[in-house]
Amino acid sequence: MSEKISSLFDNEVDNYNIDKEIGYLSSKKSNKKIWSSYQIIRDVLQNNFNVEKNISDKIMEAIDKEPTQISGYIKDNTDKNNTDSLKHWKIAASFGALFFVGIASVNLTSNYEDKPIQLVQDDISSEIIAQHYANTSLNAGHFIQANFSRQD
Amino acid sequence: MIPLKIVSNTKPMYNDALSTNKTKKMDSKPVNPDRAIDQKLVEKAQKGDKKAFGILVEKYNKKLTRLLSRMVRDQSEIEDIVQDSFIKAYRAINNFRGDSAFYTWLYRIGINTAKNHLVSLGRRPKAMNTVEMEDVENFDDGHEMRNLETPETSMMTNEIVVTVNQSIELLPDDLRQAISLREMDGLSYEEIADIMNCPIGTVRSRIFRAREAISEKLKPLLEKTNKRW
Repeated sequence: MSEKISSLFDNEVDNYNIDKEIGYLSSKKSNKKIWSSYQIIRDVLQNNFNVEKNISDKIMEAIDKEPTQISGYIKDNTDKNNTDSLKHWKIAASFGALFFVGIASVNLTSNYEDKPIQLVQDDISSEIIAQHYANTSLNAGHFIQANFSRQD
Repeated sequence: MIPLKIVSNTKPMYNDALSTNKTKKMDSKPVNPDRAIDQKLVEKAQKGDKKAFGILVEKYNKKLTRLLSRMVRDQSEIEDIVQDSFIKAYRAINNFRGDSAFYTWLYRIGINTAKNHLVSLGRRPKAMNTVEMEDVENFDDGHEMRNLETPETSMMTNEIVVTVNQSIELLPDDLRQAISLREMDGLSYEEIADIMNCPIGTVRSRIFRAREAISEKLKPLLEKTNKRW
């Protein structure tokens, strides 16, 4: 697997694999040591090497104490896209709901108009009717609970 | 017959050759880290991946240290400034849009941090006209650090340089040539494949094997060096 680090170190990784290779490099601390060793070899061969205190661990300790930075430039863009698409879905869903409510109400009205009211009992006594009106509210629930029964 | 452009058995060559290699490097593909990879690392850091930012720290902390040593002479002060610069960069990572290379952006943060540090101590910041922003990425600055060397670090530096050079001499010809063409001439794998008349995959493998062999020899020395620090 270090061969991949070596290729990455030389920028000889194709774009398709960059994410994967970077993910691998950052996955283990030992990979960072390999990278560091390759850097020393390069520095020596380029006459650019001096023993220096490696402060990267110290820096990373400080960075680890920092709150994680999320929702950056790229994330923002993604979020914006997501928000935009969500907004469209919300509008579409609202129109859909409105459509169904409209259809349902039209059906209800037409059903109501098409079908004549059928009395299950022809000879309702005036007493019952009077009691009915006395207790009837204008809501449909009352009629459902009225519990009329057919008398054969 | 494969032309051996650089490889030699004389030890000092690898370091002395740099004066000539530096001019060669200008003509060939630079070995400096590619912006695309840095950009990917930044994107990962922006999404909350601290390890990706850690790679950027690993890549650039020494380079930044060397550059800032032009402004500040005290080693411990430089370390603090470098650390502060990376922390500032991390805090502002979401503002990095990739208009410039990551290192150029980091370098600006470093310079400003160093200036503020010197002003806070009542010192006048040293002008840095010699290194223009556009040259920052290609700036070879090993000589700057030599001013900060102690006899101990100088000895350790020599030990490592000798070990790397000796390890290269012991490599088989094909590995030695591949790593030299890469690191000293700054050639791409494709160019090396042309010169060595072999597939790119073979070049990739040879460079890797050369590095592994040298790293193996360096390992005990680096462990010793790390313990001393």
